[in-house]
Amino acid sequence: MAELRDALYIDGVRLPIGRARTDGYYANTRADDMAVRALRALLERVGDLDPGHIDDNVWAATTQAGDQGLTMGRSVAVLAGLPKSVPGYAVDRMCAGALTAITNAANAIRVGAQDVVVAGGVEHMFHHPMGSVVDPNPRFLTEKLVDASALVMGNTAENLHDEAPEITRQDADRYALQSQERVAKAQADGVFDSHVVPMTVWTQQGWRVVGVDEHPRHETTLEDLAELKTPFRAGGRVTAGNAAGLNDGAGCVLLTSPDVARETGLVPKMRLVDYAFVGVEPETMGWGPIPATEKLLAKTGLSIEDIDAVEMNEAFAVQCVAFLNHFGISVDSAKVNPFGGAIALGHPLAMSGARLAMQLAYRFDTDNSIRTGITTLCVGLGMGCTVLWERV
Amino acid sequence: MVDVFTQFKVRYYDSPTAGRLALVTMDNGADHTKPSTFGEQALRSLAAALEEIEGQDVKGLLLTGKPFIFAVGADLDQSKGADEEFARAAAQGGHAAFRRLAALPVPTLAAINGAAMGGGLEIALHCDYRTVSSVAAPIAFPEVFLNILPAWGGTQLTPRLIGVEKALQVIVHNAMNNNVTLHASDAVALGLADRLVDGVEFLDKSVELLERIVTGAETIGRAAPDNDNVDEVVAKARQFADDKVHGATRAPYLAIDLIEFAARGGDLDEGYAKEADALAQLLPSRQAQSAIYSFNLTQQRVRKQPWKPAVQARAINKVAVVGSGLMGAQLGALFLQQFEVPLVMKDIDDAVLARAKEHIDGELDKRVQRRRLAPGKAAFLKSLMTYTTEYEPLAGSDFVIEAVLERMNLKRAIFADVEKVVDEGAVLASNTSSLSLSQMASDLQHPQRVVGFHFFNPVAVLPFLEIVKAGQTDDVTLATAFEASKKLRKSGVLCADTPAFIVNRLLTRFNGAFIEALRHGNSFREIDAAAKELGLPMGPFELLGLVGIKVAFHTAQTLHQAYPDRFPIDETFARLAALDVPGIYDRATGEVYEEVSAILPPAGGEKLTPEQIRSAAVEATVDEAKIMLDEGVVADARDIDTGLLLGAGWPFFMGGICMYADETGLSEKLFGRRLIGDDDKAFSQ
Repeated sequence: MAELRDALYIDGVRLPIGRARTDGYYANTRADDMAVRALRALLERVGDLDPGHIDDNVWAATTQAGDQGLTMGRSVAVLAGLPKSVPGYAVDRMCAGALTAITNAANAIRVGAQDVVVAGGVEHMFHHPMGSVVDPNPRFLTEKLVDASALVMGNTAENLHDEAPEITRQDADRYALQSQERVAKAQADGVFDSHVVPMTVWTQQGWRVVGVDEHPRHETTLEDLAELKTPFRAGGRVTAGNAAGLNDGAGCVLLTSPDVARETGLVPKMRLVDYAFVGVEPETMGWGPIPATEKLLAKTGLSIEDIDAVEMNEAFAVQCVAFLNHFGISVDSAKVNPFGGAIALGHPLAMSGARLAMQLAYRFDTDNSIRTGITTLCVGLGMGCTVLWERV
Repeated sequence: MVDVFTQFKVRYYDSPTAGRLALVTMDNGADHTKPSTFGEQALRSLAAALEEIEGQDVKGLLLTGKPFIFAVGADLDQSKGADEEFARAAAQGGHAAFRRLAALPVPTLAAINGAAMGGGLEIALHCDYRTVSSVAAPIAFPEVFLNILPAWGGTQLTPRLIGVEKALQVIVHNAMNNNVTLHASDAVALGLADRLVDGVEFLDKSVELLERIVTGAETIGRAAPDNDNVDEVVAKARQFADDKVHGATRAPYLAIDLIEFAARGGDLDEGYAKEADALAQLLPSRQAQSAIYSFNLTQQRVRKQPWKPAVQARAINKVAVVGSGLMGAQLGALFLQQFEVPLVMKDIDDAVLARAKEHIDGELDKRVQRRRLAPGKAAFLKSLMTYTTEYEPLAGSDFVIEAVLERMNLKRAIFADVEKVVDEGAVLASNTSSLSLSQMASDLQHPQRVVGFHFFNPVAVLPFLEIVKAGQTDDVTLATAFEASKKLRKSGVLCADTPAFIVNRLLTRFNGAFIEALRHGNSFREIDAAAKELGLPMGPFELLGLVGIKVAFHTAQTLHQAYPDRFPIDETFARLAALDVPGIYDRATGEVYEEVSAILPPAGGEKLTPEQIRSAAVEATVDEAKIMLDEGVVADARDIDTGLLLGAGWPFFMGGICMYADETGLSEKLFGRRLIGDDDKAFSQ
């Protein structure tokens, strides 16, 4: 087998994450227009790259209909005004959509099939509420392939609490508060300015420019969190406060081969080394990142101590704490999500994998002590995935 | 109906680089099919928005419109019946509001995101800078076309920004050249806008530009306006106006005066005051009121097809043209390109068919050369054509139109033959200009499928169609004819089966008065000049060269047979028709043909004055229009005016003959009432 090439991460851009509501940032903005804005902003940053040299434009969306239909990668390329010679396609792995777009793109580069690939994710959860156009096969339940709770993400988080009883509602709320605090600090420090671009959006009150993530609640206190209802179970532990939000967002990253990076003078921020996807029980999909990371470590002969930086999606606080407990990392460790995560920032499903990569790249960029890092997510219907990145 | 008016909606953006920016959106709350306009309430909203912004620590302002629309200027509905006081107040109200915007102490940028017409363009000119979206269209000053002028600073700011010659181009020449509008790139090339920005992220980039202007990271450079050649270009513009309207409306002349004033360094306050005076003079005028009426008739009313029966039209998947001469070939080319369905050209003569094929192929090839049509698509369209001397290939046609010689027996025979091969619902249309459709249909097995479909020459250019309902024409046939007219991008008006229908009947009566003037010793040129002072683009004898003397004479004969009293056959006209000349004037020299001069009658009596010539022609035409309304040739006086505007090219500011008679008081004098009622009978029948 021919030797694999490196897939290099050059840069990434996302829009501020909006709340999926009537008065949210993007209520009157199309998902594909959001993707176009992110893509064009990315290409503007890497101005030396001729858009005609893009070999593929891969976009993820969980719902692939309406303004997220028509094979997004291709339609976004056309809408963005890229040369018609640039192809594109759409992928879906729910929350790991963009992450899968990235691994696909990287693989095309690694095997030498392609040199320049854009990988992105978009989710407009206001236009496409979770499960809105889904028709689950009745066999799932009649043949007890999964429990009914497996199809409702909040219920899987309650199930996870059942299996990890040592993680209490208070632990989850404390983690959630930490996420809010870390995001507030990162915003104040301008961390997100490195990869968030504003967009002018239409509202009934006229055009407005949105430039800052809409979801965080800086004023949150533990007391506030403690008062929230547990909508999935009476007396349960999962609340709107210790779970990711329902959000609209779009973001994308540029990957190239080493040759192209050299020729165009683009400076890579990191390289994709390897990755692992695993399946777990759908009823407790939040376990996913643990076996995915274990599998990746086993494959690469690394231990968790060898990993300097972790960017983990925060679907639910319980899932995060379970991961930290499993790997013996303290909850307040700066190694994991130092700029906070989806609980505060929001989680536009298929987009989040791209955001994790952007935040990890920022860490490579700003902290020379970091040699290796992972991005990891849990995925609906019981999956986990982890990607290993390395300083170039 | 909910009262729709444009609001100036303010939002703020705290830019990390530039500080607080005000984003002002002009939005009437409706979708893009109802563009935002400016009336009294809109100007009040602007004042309120500025009041608020002035109280804020704002570093810059961006003005833009709702999606697809910037703003399209004054609300025309409010201009209907406007008096001098209203017009002056409207001009001054806009001046005050727009100048307050211009006076803001911070950089202001108009982001022209879509259609920008008239007052929309003027408010943009009151900003310091302008970006224009690559997809913004149309951009224009249509005022002079409507016989008013840009009176919200347009005549004063435009020459100051881009120089007198370009200002005259966009405000006068374009408006009078059938209201030519600008593309975004033209607006930038002319200097009306500073930057052309890709439509895909137009506002994002416009905000970024404003940020850079505010921080000083970017400065906008502009060439100084060229106002050195004022004498020359102003004279040229006045000549152009003379050629177009022959002094019949004041609007272009006043616009030129005001632009000249600004270009010669006139005081801005004085210029604005002059604008208000000019609008007060123009807006209540017959010409402006007629133009607004004409605009409504031709751009809105006729497109609604009020005459179309509410039944399902027959789908047209195959067309046939019988008679492939000059007219037939033009029809073939038109139907093929607009319908893109199999099309049969039938004639008795192979040579005629060969010429028709040459014409149709040529039309397609021309479009291919101009890159308006892909070569493969042209080849496909050609493959849809059948040229035949037989009737069998017409089988399966849904719409058959005949364009053979104007002989009743010939047309009847052809329809009888066509009926043998097509199914009973197929529409049989006739392009006759004067024969009776009822008679043409009378021997058919299914006469209800016959309809008149009268085009105006040249078919590709003139947008008008008379759709003639014969006594037996059924609703499906009529609906199909209206659908076909829409698909052909023609404006069809319904007309009863009466001699020479609408336009030719009126024009023949109109021309009768001019031919009569010949007997008084007036020359062709004098008569043409007299007629043109009405504002007509061509004199009656110039027009005769275009229509063809024989054709016009044939129509005159038809009308003479029907109404001998009002349509006498003038001997001079008969002798002219007998000559074999293409027109009155030799195209090459511009002189009257010698053979034409030779047959002129000896002058009898005194020459008529131009005024006498005109009023005789106008009164005769008004008389005929009234008779047509009484006879029910059309449903409403507006139908008649639509025909004259679109079929005869009468100028908007005349408003056709009914509006002209109403506005000049002629209707009142002749009939004791106006011809155009408040109730539009085409809609209420």
